[in-house]
Amino acid sequence: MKISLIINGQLRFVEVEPGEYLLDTLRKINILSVRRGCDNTSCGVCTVLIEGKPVPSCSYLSVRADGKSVTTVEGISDEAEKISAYFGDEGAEQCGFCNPSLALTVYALKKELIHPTDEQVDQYLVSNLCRCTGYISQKKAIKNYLGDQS
Amino acid sequence: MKVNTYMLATSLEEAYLTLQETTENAILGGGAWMKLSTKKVNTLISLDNLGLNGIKEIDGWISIKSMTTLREIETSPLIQSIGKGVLSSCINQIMGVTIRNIATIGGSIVSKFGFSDLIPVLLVLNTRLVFHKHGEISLKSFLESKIVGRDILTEVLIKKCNSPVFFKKVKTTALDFAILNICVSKTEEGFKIALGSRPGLAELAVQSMNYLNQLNTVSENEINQAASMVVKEIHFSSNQRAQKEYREQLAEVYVRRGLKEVLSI
Ligand SMILES: Cc1cc2nc3c(=O)[nH]c(=O)nc-3n(C[C@H](O)[C@H](O)[C@H](O)COP(=O)(O)OP(=O)(O)OC[C@H]3O[C@@H](n4cnc5c(N)ncnc54)[C@H](O)[C@@H]3O)c2cc1C
Ligand code: FES
Ligand code: FES
Repeated sequence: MKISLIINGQLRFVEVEPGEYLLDTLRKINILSVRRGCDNTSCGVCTVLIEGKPVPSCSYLSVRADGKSVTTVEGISDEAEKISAYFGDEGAEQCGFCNPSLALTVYALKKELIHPTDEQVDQYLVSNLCRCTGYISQKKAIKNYLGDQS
Repeated sequence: MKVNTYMLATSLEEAYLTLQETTENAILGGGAWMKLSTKKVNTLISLDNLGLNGIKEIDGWISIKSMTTLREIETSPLIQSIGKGVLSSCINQIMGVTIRNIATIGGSIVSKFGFSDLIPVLLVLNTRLVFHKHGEISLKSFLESKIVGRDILTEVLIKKCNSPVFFKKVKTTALDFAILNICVSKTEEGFKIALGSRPGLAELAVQSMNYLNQLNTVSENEINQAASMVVKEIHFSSNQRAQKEYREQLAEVYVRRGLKEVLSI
């Protein structure tokens, strides 16, 4: 089946199988910042924004995204750079495998919640697993980013 | 999940008739759970274009269309008018925001998961389900029987209520299934107590509820009595998450706490 996706603002036509997941479709067209971890909605590394909302692309059928806007970290590059600067300052980055999805989710959080409490931030990011950092430094970096009004 | 054909249904009747053609055809909810299945689906029927989204209030009831996501329910101001927002606090303990942005209330009810956090809460509220062919049925009857058959859930109706509802999900890590779910309410219909993740499907503790509901006043003694009755009437068992005996202890303690909380004592 041929579907159209508006990927990071650009219209693309892609041939997909009926049971193909968006993660596979995006990687097939060389968008490799979207990663595969658990492949069952538990780890968050495959997160993309569909119409602005964070979803696990490993469990989202590509046909369902037909005609919709799909944002990967490349689509928020300015904001992602800002987020990674905060991560760098706190030493919150090690292997970097989780970073694109975490940046997207933090970006979505900032758009969705006004002045979130620490508890709300924890809850929003609970399924973005990081295998390296232990979360403390990430939490500090995210707090600093959310406090940045620029 | 392997899919042969994907069908974007243009009407509920078309979706229903396609579902009846063969047991290899299936309705697609949010697809989060179906993703984990190794089943082969012949025609995967999408309800995405049928307007089955949204939450509204109708004559003292909150109507939730079946394709509404868990996140939409969790963040809806209308949901606060049911048991002081108990559905929001229950849903926000289910995995993370990303999965809740795709999982639907329809898929969460029809699949009758034993581990469901949502079902025990809906059981202690006055919840009715609307199926395309079968029509309206109480959640309790739907869970206890197979009379609905292969049908499409279109709407969930929940009676508004102002009283607080106690919900406790006992779990060991943030993303895990519950070891036990305990839910207690006291509304105009009286006391209701539901236990889920026993690990079987959630059930109402009917004898304990009847005991409480025939009393004129309920104090510490009666609460203790009802909590120990729950352990006798509900069947708990063991799995890799917890032993039967541990679940029984948890049930007794949390039913007691739940009753105290809804009675403010
Ligand atoms: C990794 C993981 C962890 C989870 N952890 C929890 C947890 O801790 N607590 C909890 O409560 N839940 C948990 N869930 C379940 C989740 O909350 C949803 O209940 C589940 O994903 C089903 O919803 P869905 O919309 O994805 O349904 P789907 O996966 O699309 O469908 C599930 C079933 O329902 C049928 N169906 C869907 N919609 C309809 C309809 N309208 N009419 C008729 N049939 C229909 C489908 O054909 C299918 O058989 C978890 C799910 C996953 C994947
Ligand atoms: S790969 Fe999708 S959530 Fe882990
Ligand atoms: S930095 Fe390695 S997984 Fe997060």
